[in-house]
Amino acid sequence: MRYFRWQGALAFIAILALVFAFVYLLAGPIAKLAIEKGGAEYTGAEVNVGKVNVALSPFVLNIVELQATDPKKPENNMVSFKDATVSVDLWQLIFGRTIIDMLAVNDLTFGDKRQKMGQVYRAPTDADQASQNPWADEVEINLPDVNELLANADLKTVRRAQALEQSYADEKAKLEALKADLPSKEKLAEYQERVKALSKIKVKTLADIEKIKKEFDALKKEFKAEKAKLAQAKEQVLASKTRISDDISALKNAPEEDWQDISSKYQLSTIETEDFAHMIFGEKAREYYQWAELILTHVKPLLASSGATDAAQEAPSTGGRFIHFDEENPLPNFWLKKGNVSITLADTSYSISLDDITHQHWLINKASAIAVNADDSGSTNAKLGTLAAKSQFKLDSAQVLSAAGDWSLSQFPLNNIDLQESDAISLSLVHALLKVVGEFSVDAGELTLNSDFSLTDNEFNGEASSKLANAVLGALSSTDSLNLNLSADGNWQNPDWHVKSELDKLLAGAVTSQLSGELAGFKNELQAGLTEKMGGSLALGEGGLTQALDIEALLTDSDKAFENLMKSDVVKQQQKKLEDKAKDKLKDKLGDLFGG
Amino acid sequence: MLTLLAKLIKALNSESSPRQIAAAISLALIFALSPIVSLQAAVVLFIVLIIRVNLASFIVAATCFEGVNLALSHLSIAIGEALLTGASASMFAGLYQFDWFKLAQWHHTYNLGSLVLGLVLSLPVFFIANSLVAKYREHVMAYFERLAIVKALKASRIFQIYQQLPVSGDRV
Repeated sequence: MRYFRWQGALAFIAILALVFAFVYLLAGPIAKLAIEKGGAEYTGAEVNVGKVNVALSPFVLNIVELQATDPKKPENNMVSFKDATVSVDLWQLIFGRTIIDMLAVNDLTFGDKRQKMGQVYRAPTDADQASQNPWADEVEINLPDVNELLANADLKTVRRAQALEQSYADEKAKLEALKADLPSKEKLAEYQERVKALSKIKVKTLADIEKIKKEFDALKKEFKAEKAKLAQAKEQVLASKTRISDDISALKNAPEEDWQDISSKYQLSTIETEDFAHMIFGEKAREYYQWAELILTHVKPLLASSGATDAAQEAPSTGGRFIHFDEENPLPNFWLKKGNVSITLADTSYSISLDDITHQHWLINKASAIAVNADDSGSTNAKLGTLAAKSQFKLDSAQVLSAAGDWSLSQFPLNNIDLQESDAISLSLVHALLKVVGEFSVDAGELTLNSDFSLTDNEFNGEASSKLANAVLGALSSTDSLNLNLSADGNWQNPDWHVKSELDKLLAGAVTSQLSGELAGFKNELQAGLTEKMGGSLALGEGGLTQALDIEALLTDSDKAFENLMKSDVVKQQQKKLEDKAKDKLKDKLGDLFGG
Repeated sequence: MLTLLAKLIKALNSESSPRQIAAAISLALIFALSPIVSLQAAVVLFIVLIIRVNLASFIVAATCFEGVNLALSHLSIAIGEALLTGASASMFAGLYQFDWFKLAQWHHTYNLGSLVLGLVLSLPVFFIANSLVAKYREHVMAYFERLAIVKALKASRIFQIYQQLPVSGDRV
């Protein structure tokens, strides 16, 4: 007993109890404050929460009346719901895993009117609001300005012309330095004289021959050195020639490549076959697609950070780091076991059921499933018809997605939808009944999507101020039904979208001839400008190439001359002379001896 | 602060055994080296409260060792890094399977390193503190008692506070 202080244990328990009581009593208000502050920071606008109830065992969070202001329209909510209940595994939450046993969201609504205008703390970025106006009648307005394009320093023609000029200057300097170092004509003549002089020496004895041989060997050494210099020079000339001729051919190709770039940037190659369905419905489709993109943007970092294994390690930091080891029974970082969300859109309720939503399916060995249902076709005031959509998806440990799904929508009424609002055309769909049937699959990350849209009982309304827009408006007004096919393929994170519709056939012929004439004029003007831009540099480069060729010819001649000098048989000639002399002497002596 | 220092001086001069003060100082070292919000810090706090060690010495020493921690935190991280990624990694991979290990966050280099460094240093610190307190009482206290200034201070306000204070950790 003398070592223990039992009052201390009581004090410790009292402190713990106080902390727990504090957390329990203030958890609700703290959570409310955290959601409001965190939500405002995230969205950049006011977020209001009516009340947050917290139960500790099991840990259940109940959020009542959440409203998040739309920063673009502060009088509306971006999202709101009546209440949301989430049951979380608290023990796993302590270890950093969010395992949600149950989620229920009631009356989730987008874009509803707020009672009081919300505050905006951060203005939304409008980067993608300025879209091109494809409706202008005069094609020149859609086409970029030729002079502006030609003034652009990023053009390949300009860059390559500069590169060629630089290569020419570099190589010219090198070649001139080389030329100065090469044996001159005078030097070559001097060598030839020296060899000739050796051949003219009068030889009397073998010692003379030996002397000539020695001197010729010394000369040969000098020739070898000169030849080595010539070989080195030849290599340099070859390199210069290659560099300049490569730059010349790159420059010659540049105007065509620039045209390809410009035509793909401004979609000039497709202008003749512009798909009108894309132009009419693209704007609206983009709005819906932005929602999917927004979700994907937030899910992507999760996918990237989850990694293939739990042994992933953080980079060392000044405050230390967590080292994660493989677990025998690993659980996903996020796992929504069961969820039900009821969404209200345009006075119609949709029910979404979520099962096993996670991004680490290989840890639970199950696929995520999402099903959306709505059916009010039986009611007297039917606003929706029937909607049924279901999808399953699964990521493997290498983050490769496999998914499949299908959807069907029938008798879905579309009323007063603004499709286009620009100077050239305002177009709205007054009334139509939509039927959609589609399916998609992702196999090893490759998406295949196909969906047929059918509008019946159409009524379009609008005004147009250009010929092109008028033609479109006229064609739309005269059709009673419209079919459209949307398809996508390629990588699921960046698919290629295709829209096909009978509208294209109706309108394409009427505008193609007008467009193609303008386009040909534009192309000629641009290509003439590009050719002019490269002209001076090209002439300079070609001059450089000729210079290199001249030097190369000079080097070959000099090399040949040295080769001939080296092969010179001056020693043999002198030997022969000596031998002949000796023979003559011997003959004379023998003649004297035999009286000849 | 004045009161706290007075408590420490009183503890040094009191009947608290040198071992009680030394134990408080060595526990303060473990506490100060650990992250403030951690299981190991809570356990040390619990031990300090239930074991009869000198509380004033613990508080003052923990405050001083917080400064030491600034200088030693890199060493703590290096020790944790070496333990978790070196030869003993397989042992920690085994311990990682237990929830309590992850709850204590000993798979964090700073948490594990600071605990190990604290435990290793606590033993020599205990013996050094024990001997220093004993020596203080034997030589310094007796020397100061004889000084005229001390006699003058005894009449001051600080001494009155000092006299009025009970010493935590006193035997009952």
